[in-house]
Amino acid sequence: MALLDIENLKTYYFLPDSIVKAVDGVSLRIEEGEIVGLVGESGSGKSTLGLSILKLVPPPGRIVEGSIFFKGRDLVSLSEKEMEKIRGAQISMVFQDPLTSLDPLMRVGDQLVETIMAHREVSKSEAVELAKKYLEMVGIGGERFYDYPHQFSGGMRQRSMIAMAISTNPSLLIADEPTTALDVIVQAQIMKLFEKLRKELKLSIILITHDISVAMEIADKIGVMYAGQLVEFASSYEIYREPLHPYTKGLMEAVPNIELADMKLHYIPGDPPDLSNPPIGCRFAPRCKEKMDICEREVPPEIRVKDRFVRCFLYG
Amino acid sequence: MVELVRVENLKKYFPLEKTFIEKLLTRERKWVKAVDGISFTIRRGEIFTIAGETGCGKTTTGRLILRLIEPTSGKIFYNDVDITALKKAELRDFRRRVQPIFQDPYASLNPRMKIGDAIKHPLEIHGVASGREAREEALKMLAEVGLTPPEKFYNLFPKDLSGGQRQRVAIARAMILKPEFIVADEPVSMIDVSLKASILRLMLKFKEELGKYISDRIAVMYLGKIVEMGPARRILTDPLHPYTRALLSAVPVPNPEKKGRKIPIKGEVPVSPINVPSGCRFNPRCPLASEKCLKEEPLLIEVEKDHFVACHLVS
Amino acid sequence: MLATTLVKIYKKRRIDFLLTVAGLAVVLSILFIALLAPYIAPYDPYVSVDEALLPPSPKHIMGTDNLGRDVYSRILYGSRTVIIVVLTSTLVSLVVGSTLGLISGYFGGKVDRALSIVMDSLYSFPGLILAIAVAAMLGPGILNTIVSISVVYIPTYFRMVRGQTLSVKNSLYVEAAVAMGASHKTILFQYIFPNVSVIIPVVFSMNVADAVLTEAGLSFLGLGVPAPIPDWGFDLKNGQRNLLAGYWWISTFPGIMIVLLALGFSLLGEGLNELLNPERR
Repeated sequence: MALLDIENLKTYYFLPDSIVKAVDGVSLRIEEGEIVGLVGESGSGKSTLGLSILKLVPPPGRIVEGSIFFKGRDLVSLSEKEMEKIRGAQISMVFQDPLTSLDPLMRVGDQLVETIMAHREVSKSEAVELAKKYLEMVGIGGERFYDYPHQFSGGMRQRSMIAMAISTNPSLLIADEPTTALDVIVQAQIMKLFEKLRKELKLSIILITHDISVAMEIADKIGVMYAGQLVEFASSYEIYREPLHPYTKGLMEAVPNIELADMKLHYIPGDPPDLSNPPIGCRFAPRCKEKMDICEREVPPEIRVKDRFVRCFLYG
Repeated sequence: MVELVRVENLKKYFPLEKTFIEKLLTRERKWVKAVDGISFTIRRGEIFTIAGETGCGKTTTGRLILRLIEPTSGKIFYNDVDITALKKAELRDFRRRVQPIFQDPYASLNPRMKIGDAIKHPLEIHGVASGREAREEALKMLAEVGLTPPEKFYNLFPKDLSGGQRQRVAIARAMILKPEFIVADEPVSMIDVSLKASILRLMLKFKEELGKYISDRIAVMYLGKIVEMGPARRILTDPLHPYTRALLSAVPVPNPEKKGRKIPIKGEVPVSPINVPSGCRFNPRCPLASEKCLKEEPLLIEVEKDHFVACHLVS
Repeated sequence: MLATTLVKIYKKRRIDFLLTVAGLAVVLSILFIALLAPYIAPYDPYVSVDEALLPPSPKHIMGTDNLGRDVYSRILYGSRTVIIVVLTSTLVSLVVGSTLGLISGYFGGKVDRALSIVMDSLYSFPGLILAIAVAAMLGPGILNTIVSISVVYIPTYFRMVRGQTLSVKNSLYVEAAVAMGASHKTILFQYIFPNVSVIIPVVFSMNVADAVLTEAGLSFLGLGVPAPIPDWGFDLKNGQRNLLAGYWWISTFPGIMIVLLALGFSLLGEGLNELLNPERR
């Protein structure tokens, strides 16, 4: 049984004069101990998908259809009270900007202890020990337990957020653009940390990012999102060797390749569609180099190609 | 080889605010040594990149060259003229030839100015054109940067555009005076990966229209100093300084078969460059640091033609 | 454009919209009254037209005061006084305070430091006390009252505008303008001012509410508009001594008007705040 099984999820934002279909029929599956990269441009719906899993979509948005099976239970049907037991405990989330998620007036160690005690049956002193242990695990020395967030660098703050996220022993961690605001070397360190955590704690991770190369670094599987839909889902090896969907191809080409000093700059022309008024048919068609007539008339279904999915008429 | 910009031993120190107690107890001032003695030249028609992580001093260097802030010491020459000594009229001329493009497309445009007005503004500031003529020029620029139909975009405000579009506006605004020199501070870092190339392509297009393509070079900065400098191709294929190598290896490459080739370095750039390590500034994090590295600061030496490195192990 | 914004506010939060409209209605009605007072007032407010202390009746719908003057007419004419004094003084405060704030914030230096100290000291005084101090120095008279009230609110505009100027001055787009070679004048007029002026209308309407109360207070204490000019604050005081004897109408009606006008401006100010600075998630 898969750890997480999302079936035909739809999350819409109900604005005064329009409905933004941020997530419009997404299905995917994550196994235990798997790292899945969710890649897409700004506005593709990937963050909304992450929030939907934890039912943290801010109003005026809400889940309108679909199910999210976590360890067999459909989260969509759970009450808020039941969700609270899952959030932070079995499924944790880490965001892009750790500065706003940490309380500036509380020592980092204390915040960690608070989180631990809220979700685990331990005494205060046990919690302190655990907190120090988790700080060590993420590469922050135990002596920094007594520091305040402003004394930490960006990378360290993100690590403390990760420590908080794993301190409750979750099975799934959702990381929404965790390294976008960080420098390249720190980013590499955090990615390494994720891999270590996956190995040591059997942690599944959903890595949400707009940069496919970041996802490729550690993800086993990659889901490419465009305009609220999943257009391709395959292992990272397969996407590297043979990207199928034209959008995925575009993303792979757009990555500036530092190994070729003779840089060819590729990009995908055009802009993502307005999600309150998506185009009829395939949403990527307006920007697609390989579009056919049918693409502008009908929405392509998910087509199975060997053991992956592509949402594109080129393949069926 | 015509030299356009020459920077000599440039330093910029920012005074550190002392807490009240510190003011009472100590007399010495603490400084943030953002830029600590760098020298380089930029030739006409060249793309010179200053690379480095946050806090290395590259943004400060950019602002110094634009004369938005004054250097603590050192000189900056533009066309052989010391720009720190420029007076009003000459400074205006300098500003006409040197244009900025900033990192944050959301903040570099006046929210209450129409896009078209913002683009033609430099023309009006420098008396190059006004009225209908200026508007025509602005419309032309809008078309050139790909914001079509130009008439529609002319009347929009920054809030109506996406990040990528705003950055195009910033480029149009910078280019309208046909400047000689552009200082672009991380112009694509805040833009999605898939769109970065389009912005860079745009900048290259202008470069090719305005000047001949000669070469491009990179200078890598760390904590206020240049650690390696040379032709881009050379540095990317054969980096010599340990920091450059670590930096390059950390850049994610979409190739899952290439895992584990990263050069691990511990720690991060210090939160602020106040207490600079003695000797080579990179020694606390350098995997190859030796005794000498802890004591003596390495000089920037030319180890092969036009390739400079500041590292004891290389020279 | 105004219509669509109004519709947006209406859809977002009904109560806010209704309150804003209520505020606007009150303010406009009183302005209207002030304008038309000479045409709708039944009697001359300055002279005695009947017996003193008559209770409200069809002949005098708000009764007469201790000098036999028609209260209703005094209320109508009083609105002119209040509106003129309050609007003039807040406009003066706005112009003087904002200009000084803009200059101080933009140029900084010794001028800024000196002005800031002066303004902060003035600001630390409770409004009415300061007005009393200035009015006592200047003596009675409409013009002096206007000056006294202006002085109270100049620091408010100064601080708000200076604060905004400082933050705009440090923004990236102003830096870009400097790098492009724009002159101080250009930057002040095309970059700083348009971005700062947004907050002024909001400060203004909240200010006026306060000014109404300050004006009433001054007149109540006899330091504002001098008798026999019709003024609500003055009449409030005037009726006070007869209150215990049961002659409630002389004080009550002016009192209601003061509260109404202040409330009207307050609601209007809050509504404008929502309009110009909508709350973002």
